Amino acid sequence: MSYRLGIDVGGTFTDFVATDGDHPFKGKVPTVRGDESVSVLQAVDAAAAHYGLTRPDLLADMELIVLGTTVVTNTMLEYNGCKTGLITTEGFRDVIELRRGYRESLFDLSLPAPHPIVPRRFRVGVPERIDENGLIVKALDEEAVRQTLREFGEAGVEAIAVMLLFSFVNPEHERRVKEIAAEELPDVFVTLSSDVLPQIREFERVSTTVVNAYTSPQLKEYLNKLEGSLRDAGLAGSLLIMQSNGGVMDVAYSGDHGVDAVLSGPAGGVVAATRLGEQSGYRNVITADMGGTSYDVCLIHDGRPEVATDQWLSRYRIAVPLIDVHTIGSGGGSVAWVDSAGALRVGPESAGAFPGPACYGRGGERPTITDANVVLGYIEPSFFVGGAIELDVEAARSAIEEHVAKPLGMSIEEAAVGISRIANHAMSDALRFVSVSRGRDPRDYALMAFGGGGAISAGVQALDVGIKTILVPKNASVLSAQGGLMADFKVSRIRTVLQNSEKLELDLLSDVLVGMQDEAEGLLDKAGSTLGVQVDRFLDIRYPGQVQEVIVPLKSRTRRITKVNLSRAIRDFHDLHHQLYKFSRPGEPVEIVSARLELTGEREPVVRKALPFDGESSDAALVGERTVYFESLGFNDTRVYDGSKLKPGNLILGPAVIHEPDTTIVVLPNQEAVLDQFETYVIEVVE
Amino acid sequence: MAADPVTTEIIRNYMETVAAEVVQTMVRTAVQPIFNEAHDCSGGLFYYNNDEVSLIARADAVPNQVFPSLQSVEECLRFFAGDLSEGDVIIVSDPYYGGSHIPDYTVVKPVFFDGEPLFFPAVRGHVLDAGGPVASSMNPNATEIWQEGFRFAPLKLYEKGHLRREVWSLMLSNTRMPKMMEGDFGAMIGGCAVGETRLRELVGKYGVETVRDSVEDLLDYTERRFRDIVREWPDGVYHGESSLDTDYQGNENITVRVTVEIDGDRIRADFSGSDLQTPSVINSTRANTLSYLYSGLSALAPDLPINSGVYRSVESVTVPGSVVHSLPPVGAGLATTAIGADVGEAVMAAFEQFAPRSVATTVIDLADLWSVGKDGRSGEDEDFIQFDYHASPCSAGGTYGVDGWGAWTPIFSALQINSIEMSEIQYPCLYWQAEYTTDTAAPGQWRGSPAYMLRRQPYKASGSTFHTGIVQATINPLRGFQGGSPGVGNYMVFRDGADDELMISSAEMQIAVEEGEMVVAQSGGGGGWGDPLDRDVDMVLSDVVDGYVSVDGARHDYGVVIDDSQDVDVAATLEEREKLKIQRADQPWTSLGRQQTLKRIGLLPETVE
Repeated sequence: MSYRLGIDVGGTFTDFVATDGDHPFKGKVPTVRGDESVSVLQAVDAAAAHYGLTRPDLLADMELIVLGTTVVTNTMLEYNGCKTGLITTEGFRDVIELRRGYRESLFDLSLPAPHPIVPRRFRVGVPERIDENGLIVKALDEEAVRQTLREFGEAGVEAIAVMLLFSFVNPEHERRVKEIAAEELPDVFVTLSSDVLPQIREFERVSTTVVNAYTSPQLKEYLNKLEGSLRDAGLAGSLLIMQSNGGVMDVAYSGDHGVDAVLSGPAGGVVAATRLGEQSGYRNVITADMGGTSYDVCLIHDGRPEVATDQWLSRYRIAVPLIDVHTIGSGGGSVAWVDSAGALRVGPESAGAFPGPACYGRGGERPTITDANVVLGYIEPSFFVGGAIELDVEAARSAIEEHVAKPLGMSIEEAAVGISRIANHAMSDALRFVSVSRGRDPRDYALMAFGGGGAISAGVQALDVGIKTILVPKNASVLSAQGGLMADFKVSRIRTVLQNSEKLELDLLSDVLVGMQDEAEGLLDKAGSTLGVQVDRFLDIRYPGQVQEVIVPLKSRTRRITKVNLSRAIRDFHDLHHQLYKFSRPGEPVEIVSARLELTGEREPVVRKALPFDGESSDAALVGERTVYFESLGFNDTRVYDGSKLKPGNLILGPAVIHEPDTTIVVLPNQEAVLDQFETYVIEVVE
Repeated sequence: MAADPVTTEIIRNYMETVAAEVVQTMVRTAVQPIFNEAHDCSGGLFYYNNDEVSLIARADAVPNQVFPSLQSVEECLRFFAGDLSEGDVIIVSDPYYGGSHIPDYTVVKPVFFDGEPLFFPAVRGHVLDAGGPVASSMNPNATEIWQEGFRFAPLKLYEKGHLRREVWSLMLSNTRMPKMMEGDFGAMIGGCAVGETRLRELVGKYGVETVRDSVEDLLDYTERRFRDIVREWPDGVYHGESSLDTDYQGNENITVRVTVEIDGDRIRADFSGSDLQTPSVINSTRANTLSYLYSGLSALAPDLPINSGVYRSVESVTVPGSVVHSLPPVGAGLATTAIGADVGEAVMAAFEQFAPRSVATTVIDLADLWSVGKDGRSGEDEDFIQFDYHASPCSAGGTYGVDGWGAWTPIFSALQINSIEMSEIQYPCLYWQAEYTTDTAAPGQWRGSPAYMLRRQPYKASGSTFHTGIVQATINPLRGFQGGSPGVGNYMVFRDGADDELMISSAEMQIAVEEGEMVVAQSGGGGGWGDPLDRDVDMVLSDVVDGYVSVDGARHDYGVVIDDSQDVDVAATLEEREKLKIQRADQPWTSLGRQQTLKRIGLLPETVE
């Protein structure tokens, strides 16, 4: 079998990348809201047409389809998951509603409560209690469990989350609840907190487990249906799903782990950025993905994306290990406005894809970041999304004039510059957030810009935060889809151990790690065949009394760990703590809170052959000049290049603009771009 | 000179980010749970223009900490005027130097540009113990401030970049928890250091003049926007008052009175009619009083960037020696939630008259539970001091269009309730209940959040665990608005159900509780908004199905009649509501939950229906 297909279903477009080994083909089809499977089949058809095949012919010769899905994200955003019940320790049924007191706004008295994805009527406490050592203080009242399950059954509950106190130390009671549920309600989906997230802190655990119950049945139904349609249409190969941890897993696993797919799409982009960065020689990369409504950034350190520790989705806390994608509401559609006291503001409101920016000509009247980019000459009106949308420059200008320039007494151009500066600054702030504020120096990283708009302003961000190199892959607009093709299988496990370094039981820690590995290997075996397996272990360590842990790599070559392995990890902890927080206390005892394990099942790599270098001259791709604004030059006649005519090795000295079919790359004055042998633009920044 | 508006917006965003980073650094690295689990700490950036100090940005942290920090920075500057150098770090905790109560320590770091101390990152946090006769320094029996803890007037902890060892050891000698204090100082100083680094980067990029101009602009901007809001309020004189149950020394119903005058775009808040200070720990310093005034005003303008621009249109009058402007020698240890809460309630009562749809509960009412003892689990009988936030987490009230939800009122939601599991690992105790109870949400067209019931016991302690309970709001619970009922109020019970059960509706100190004996605490929710008889019938039914309200409560409080099959009896409901409307017009009524609370405390005979 020779074909592979990566598909990423986004809010506006469904992107795909197909390959037959030698001839990659990328494209976009509109996303059909409500039924993603239609868009997926359309992407299959578009690929088939490209290779001159019918749908069944292509599918019969298809080795693999990797899917990034927004089903879980949308379920949470629209709160249309299944009817969910919670069984918890008696006396603690409101933990999920209390949220440890957290609110999104400190002074807004009228902020409503989050939509209750498990309303109180379906939250039931059962008598039982386990203490912090795993000792049973009060036995599980099985009759109460049965009674509750019967009531759930009568009420038509479709999924049940179980979260009992200290189940991460002793899961006995939770497992018993599951056994009883299998007898009472065999068809209902049951998920245990000790499986989903065996980690200390009841709010974080219950929220994560409830989200899993609320979203999994829908995801499972969708994936089964999709797989059915693809099989019916002749799919011979496998269907894999992109996970939030940056790996892929099979349909069976994914359908039980909705909470692991919350970042299915963005994770694909980060995986591709990791691989492409490495290919071009950069293992330290900050990614910047700018779409229509958001700007997503992620820091990749030494070839490994950072793991998130405090993610929320649609007002619910999600604490499973996932790639740390930090999102701000600065997208092409973010609206610029002047507030009552005369300050220029950009966002958080977004015009989205419909009606979209004023220049789309779909009835949007308010100016957006994209409108400012059109006025400043960054975007060529006749070449937006490869010419699919003809932009209306006058509409952009008049929207900016009406809503920003006039109220502030500025020219349209000055107003556009202002909008652009404020938006750029917010993006630079996001880059600082994932680097500087976590003890990472941005000067040690390359900036990889992708998504529709990421490469327009990457040059400015690089200057702002001191980044020296910008990378823009030629496939920048479909990077998430491409990531699926590059991702390995990956199972992430975490388990709380809570040990003090002075009284550490090394065997116990080893047992936990081995247990996690056995469990992960079991899941991986079922998911599909791999070329090889790689195990990465980590410890979450802190000083006694702290609540925030530092994730420290644990370097061991065997399944168990030795005293030396551990000492090394503790020494690394002191160093990392100093790097992150400017102080450390070497010699002090430390607490090991949790152990993490990441099992990677390597898939056959997508090998990209290095292309030969052409000459330095880029004149063959020069297609003309256009007026473009640069802070140091003002509006300036600027050379425009057609990216499809550029060859590896061609040099372009800024100021310049490069058009790729659905991406624009702006090269600032004194910056120099070269297309490298793997078709990634490498832009060097001079301060 | 004015900076351009775009640069000002950029610098404003930058300052907000830096303030957040300062607090984050402190919270992530601190070692004791009041800071890092509960977030009872704050941080801000301050600016000095050779004339006055201004708050320019604060992070999401308890506002009644941030606002008084302004006074602390002012006091430090005043004290060390002409004697500040690059590399100095100042520390202050004395409530009478711009503080709120003794365990709130403030660390201030002057950042110099062109030889002038221009900016001050400052952090403030509640330390676990600040000396004095009682572990935790929360001593309800104190009549003078010296019986609360050790007063640190402004001190230089670092001078020109060098640690002053004698000051450091003085501080550590005056706490029962020197190791934790050392860790927390590290976190606080680290937070300020991060603030300094980021400020230097900003000035490095834009230059001192531009940054200074932008800061002036952003203060003007907030002032302008706030004045616009004030102008929309009807001119007039509005009176509000609120009373505290007790000062723990025999004085009851101590009252805060405020007269708020709106005149065009100016506000004058006059607290002159308030009661005199008492020899106790409930007195509020002026800084603490103003913080509650500013918090209330901020709640009426939630979208505003919070900085000193807000205060410029506000004039405030407090009489020195009154309970809202205390002077030595009286104590102030409990003012942050005792009289402070009454300042907040009095202010809201006045605001209710001109902005009825914008008001709700903005305070928490005191219910402090401390336990001290020896941990029997380690084999080393280590001393522990636990402050349990689970005794006081609920105070969110209803407001126009929205029921109270979650735990604390938004203003205090930066405080994080400790994890039960983490608490049991840290302290020898076992929890049996920490959840809402039925019929305790203050009725209203939009109800308050339900009360929260805590049940816990000592578990594997070595010897007795000594509990201190300090309660208010049993007589004067959190008020309702526009016809909404008040919250049900707080109480605690030590040795619940035992023969020697101890009901606490004011304060009890160091009571021995043994393993197997229960400690119970009710934290009443905030007030309701609007007449409960106007509450949507389906919402009442939904509350009954969810167990927030009982069938009896639905009838008693809301006049909604629910039949055996859990359906609303429409005809009976109409009749009941008509009947209750007439009854309540003539005589005051009490919600079912409040009656139950009063009965439990013993203030209402069990037989009353």
